[in-house]
Amino acid sequence: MAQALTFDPVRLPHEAEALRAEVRAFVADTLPDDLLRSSDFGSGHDPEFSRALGSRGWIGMTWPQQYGGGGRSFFERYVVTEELLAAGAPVEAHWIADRQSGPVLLRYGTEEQRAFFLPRIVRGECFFSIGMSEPDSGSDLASVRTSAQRVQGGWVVNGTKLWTSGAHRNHYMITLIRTEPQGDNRHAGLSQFIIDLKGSEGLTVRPIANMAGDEDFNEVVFEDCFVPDEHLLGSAGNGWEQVTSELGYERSGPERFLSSFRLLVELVRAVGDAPEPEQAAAIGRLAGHLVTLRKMSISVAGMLQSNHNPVVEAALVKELGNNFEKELPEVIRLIAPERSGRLFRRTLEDTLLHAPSFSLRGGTREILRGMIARGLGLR
Amino acid sequence: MSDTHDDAASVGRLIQDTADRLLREQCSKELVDASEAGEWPEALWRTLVETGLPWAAAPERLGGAGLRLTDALALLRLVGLHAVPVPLAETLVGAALLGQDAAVDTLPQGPLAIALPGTSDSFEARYGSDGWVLEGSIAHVPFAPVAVQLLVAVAAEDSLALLRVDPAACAMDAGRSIAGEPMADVRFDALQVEPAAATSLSGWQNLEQLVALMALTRALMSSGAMQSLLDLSVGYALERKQFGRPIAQFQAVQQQLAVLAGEAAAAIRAADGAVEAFEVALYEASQDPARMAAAVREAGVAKARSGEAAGRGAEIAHQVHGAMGFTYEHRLHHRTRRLWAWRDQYGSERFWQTRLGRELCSAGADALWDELTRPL
Repeated sequence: MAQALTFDPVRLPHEAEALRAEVRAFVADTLPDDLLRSSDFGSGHDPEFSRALGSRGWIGMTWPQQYGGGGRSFFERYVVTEELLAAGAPVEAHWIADRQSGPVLLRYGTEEQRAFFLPRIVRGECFFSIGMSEPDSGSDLASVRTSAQRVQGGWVVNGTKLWTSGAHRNHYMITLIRTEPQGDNRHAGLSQFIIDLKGSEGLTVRPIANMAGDEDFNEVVFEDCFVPDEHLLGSAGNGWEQVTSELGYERSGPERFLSSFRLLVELVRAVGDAPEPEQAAAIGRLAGHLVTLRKMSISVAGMLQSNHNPVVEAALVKELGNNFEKELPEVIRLIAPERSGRLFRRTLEDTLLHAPSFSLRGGTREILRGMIARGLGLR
Repeated sequence: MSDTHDDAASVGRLIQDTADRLLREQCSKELVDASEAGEWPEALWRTLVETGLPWAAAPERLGGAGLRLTDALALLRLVGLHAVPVPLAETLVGAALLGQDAAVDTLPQGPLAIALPGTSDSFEARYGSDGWVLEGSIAHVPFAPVAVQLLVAVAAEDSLALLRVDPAACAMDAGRSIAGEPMADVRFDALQVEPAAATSLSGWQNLEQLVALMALTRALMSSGAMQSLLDLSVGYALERKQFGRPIAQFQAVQQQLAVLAGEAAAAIRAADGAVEAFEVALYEASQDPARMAAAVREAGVAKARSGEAAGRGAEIAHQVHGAMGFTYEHRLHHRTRRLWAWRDQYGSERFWQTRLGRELCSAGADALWDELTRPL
């Protein structure tokens, strides 16, 4: 049987389910009534909300307690993240640090780096960006040209990162940089660095407005920017392995299929309790897809919990999940009641305007399908 | 979950592995072709009987293996994987349900068919002093023409009974499904069924629950067939050369097969989820109507999701196989035609989607997320 299809039936354990009510109550008490709810993890930067989550122990939940982490399971983290997304809470500020940067620091960081960054992330005080793409390097990540030269006590970085979400607001960025000229093995000679986005000389961050009118992603330009040795992450030259190790975390979570969820909620509200058959069928279909994606995502959480790195399974969740969250507004606009009210229209428009990014961010659909094909033994 | 159940589950896996080997060997292209041409695959059935698979979920006192029905259901994936042309689902489920009745002292020694009257059937079951009287007809009963006994489900007040009916006592308008498997419209002409031939199903409240269980058998069978489509298509793409290289090397083909893998994975995971829900409803919290309602919903989700996967998956598998997969000689169509048949049995995607959509709308927008995440 094809290897790509290992999604063991996993049920969330009781201690994870027990958190659900707590998160729901917190969100209900904390979020203002007039907030336009969005389940998109990239929508809603609110440091105060992130700090409040931190004080509850809901950031860095799976990390060791010695770094301020919760020492809890991936299932518990799963419940907290899906509850926040489903409610449309503003999770953008701490999202990347919690999901990705923290685990990478835990795995590859020095003791000093862990002791410095992790407790700050956990408290919701320290936010991270991911510096991967460049003007000429998108899906072909190994072709990055931003380079670092060794100097006394550190490195001097030159080059440009692009589409870096949150770089204008976040404190740090973990970035992939070429530290040796490209040779025959294009995956060699790459390294990861922690860049201080607030206090580095020779660093310019310029927001780029997106088509929805938000300023979210950025151009980050390095001009002889000095980065101290203490900010090299992992070993020099090991960057490719480190970057690809993040993918299981990055691609399988509920943020890969819940981005449009609030629109489904508003559709049900607009339709009321006596739907037309066509409306009922569409709602039932979308709900069935969501329920299934959620089970698949929980299966991957189970694999992460058992220390596996389910790259292909995670790619499958993201591929199916992105298709779902992109299809949702397309289906819903055609079955919504004609007079659906302002809240419904705003949610629909907000979803449509962000949908093009869903199957681009975190690995394009085409790249993911290529990875799945590799998992199937086709390449 | 008790240790005894874990033991039973590992017995279940052992049976599963044995059955997989056996069915792979037995269900050759020729055998499936012959059964489509009208020949009952007696040798295959006899092998199944010898291994006890059809009675895997029947109690030991009746000669069964005594597995939980929900552990035995996993066997049904093999029906899709190997295009097994006999009513394993019907016999497995039927024997398990009959086995609940202490008054049943022997099981029918042969394949069973299960007739569930639908809303569009003009069928009536009346209960009187001499037992049940059946009148009218039930359409499209899978495998009815080859069954030694027909189990007709009838609803009484808040309960459900299975009536054991001799197929010879009914009029059958026999035909075949799009997969070439026998089925029939079964007509009852004031057929008298004595009380001793009625099994009351404890823990089951209404007909829809049984429809959901049978829908789950189709979801499981379909998920096995989806796995087979993926295996066959990947194998073919690696083998078939055009422009001097295997077509597996073309990105257009790779991308399509990745989509097929996603659909197969979704079908499999959805079906597993519904099995878990029935396990909770039948064994961990039996007699709890809320758990049974959750199981019905999960079965509906699995049926609808696997039905949608079937349409997309068959499309891709045939496209990848080219003209070769369109020939009768190739075994792909034994899987794709079964997928097309199964998606229309026990409620199409539309049926289950509409049902779920109505439930969610009546719960309301602010309860939607809770409805979708409530633990089993």
